[in-house]
Amino acid sequence: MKSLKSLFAAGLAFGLIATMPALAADKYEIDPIHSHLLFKIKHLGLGYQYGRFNKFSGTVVVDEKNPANSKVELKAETASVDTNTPKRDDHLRSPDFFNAKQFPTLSFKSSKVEKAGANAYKVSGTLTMHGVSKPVSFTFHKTGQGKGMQGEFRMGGETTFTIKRSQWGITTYIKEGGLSDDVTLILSFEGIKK
Amino acid sequence: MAIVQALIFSLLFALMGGGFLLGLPLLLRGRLGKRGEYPHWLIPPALALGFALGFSRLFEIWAPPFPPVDSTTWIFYLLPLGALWGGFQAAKTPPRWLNLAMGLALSGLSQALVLSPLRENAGPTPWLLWSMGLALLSTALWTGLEIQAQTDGSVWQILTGTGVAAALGALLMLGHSVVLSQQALILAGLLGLVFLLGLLQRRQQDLGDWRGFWAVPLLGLGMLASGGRFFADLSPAVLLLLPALLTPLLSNSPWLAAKPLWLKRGLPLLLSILLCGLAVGGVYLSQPPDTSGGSY
Repeated sequence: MKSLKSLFAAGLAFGLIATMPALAADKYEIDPIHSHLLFKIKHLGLGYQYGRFNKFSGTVVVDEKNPANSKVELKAETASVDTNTPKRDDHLRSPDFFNAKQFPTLSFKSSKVEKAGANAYKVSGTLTMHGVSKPVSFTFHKTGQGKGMQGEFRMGGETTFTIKRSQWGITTYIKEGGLSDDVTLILSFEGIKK
Repeated sequence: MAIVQALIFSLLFALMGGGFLLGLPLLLRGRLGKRGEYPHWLIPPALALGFALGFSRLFEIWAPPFPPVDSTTWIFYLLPLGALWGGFQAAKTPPRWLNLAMGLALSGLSQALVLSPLRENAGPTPWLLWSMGLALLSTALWTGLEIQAQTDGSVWQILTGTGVAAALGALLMLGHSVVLSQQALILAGLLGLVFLLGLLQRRQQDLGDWRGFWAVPLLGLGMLASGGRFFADLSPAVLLLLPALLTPLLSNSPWLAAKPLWLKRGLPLLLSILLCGLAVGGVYLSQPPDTSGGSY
C-alpha cells in the first residue's frame, strides 16, 4: 500500500513537471561584450559592406524538451549603428535610412520556435524597424554551452538571415543601384543563464 | 551620379505636372478669365500637383501610406491643403483675420504632424511647445510674405523663394538627408518655374499681385526644415534663411522706395543671396574632414 502511494506521488510529480515546461526552459540574457549584431549590404553591385549595432540587448529562452516554449527577444539602438566611417554612420542614422531620431530602436520578438535539427531551431517572429513590423523567420544554431570564466553558465548561438529592406520602408539608393535591397543580418551571441 | 539622375527625373515629373497646370491658362487664354488675366488661384494647386508628382517619382510610389509612418512624409498630404487655402486666398481675398487664423492653423497642423515622433520620444510637452513655437514663427513669416505679395506684383520675390528653397536643399544635403534635400530642390524647381511664368507674363500685362502664392512653398519648406532639424542633422544656420526669405520686404522701406527700380529689386535679392551663401558656405566649411575619400 505504501509503495503504491509512493508510486502515485512519483507519477503526480512527474506529471506536474511535464505540465510545467517553463521550469524546464533555460533563460539566457545576451552578453553584450561577447555578442555581435551585424549586417551586410551590397554596394554598387560590387562588394559587401558590413556594419554593426553597438548597443543591443535581449533574451533567449531555450527549452530543449519542448522547443515550442523557446523564445527570442532582441532590441537594438539604431543610433548605435557603426560602419567604421563616421560620415556614413551619420547618414545611416538620418531619415534616408534608419531614421534613428524617429525610430530609436529596432526589435525582434519571436512568435514560434520549432526544432530544425540537432542544435538548430526555426524561429519565426516579428521584426520591427523604421516604424514597420513584418514577419521574418530564420534558423537559429546553438553553437555551444558551458561554464564561463566566473563560473556562470553560458550558451552560444548564431543566426544569419536576409531581409528586403524596402519592406520596412527603407528604400534609399535601391533604384539608383547604390545599395542592394537585400540586407543580411547576422546575430552571434553568448547568453548568460539567469 | 545616380542620386543626381534620380533628382533630375523627379524634378522633370514635378515640372511637367506643375507646368501643365500653370501653362493651361496660357493655352486657353481668353476662356478661363478676362483676356490677358492670369488666374492666380491656379498657382498653388499647380505647385502642390508638381510636388506630388515629383515626390511619387522620387519614392517610386503613388502615395505614401496614410497615416504616414515617417512623419516627414506628411508633406505629401499637407501641401494639397495649403494649395486649397492658397487658391482660395488668390481667388477670394479673405479678410486679414482669416488669413492669420488659417496661417496659424495650417502651420500648427503641419508642424505638429512632422514633429509627432517627439510626443513619444521626448514627451507631449516638448512636442506641443515646439509645434506651437514653430507654428507662430511660420505664421509670422507667412504674414510678412503675404503682405509683400499683396502689395507688390514683382516676380523677384519668387526668385528669392527659389533661392531659399535651393539653399535649404543644400543644407539638408550637408545635414545627411538626401531625400529631404531632394524634396526641397523639387520645391525650388517649381518656384523657379513660377518665376519664369511671371517673367513671361510681365511682358504682356501687369500681373497684379501674388496673393496666396506662399501657402504651398512656406508649408513645404517649413516641414522640410523641421524634419531636417529634428530628425537629420540640419544645421542651426538654417535660421539665416528666414531673413533671406523676407528680404523682398525691404523694397517697401522708405529708403529703398525712392531709389531706382533696379536697386529696389536688386538689393533685396543680393542680400538674400548673401544670406543663403553665408548659411550654406558656413556649414560646408565647418564640416569635419571627410576621411572616406569623398565616396562612402
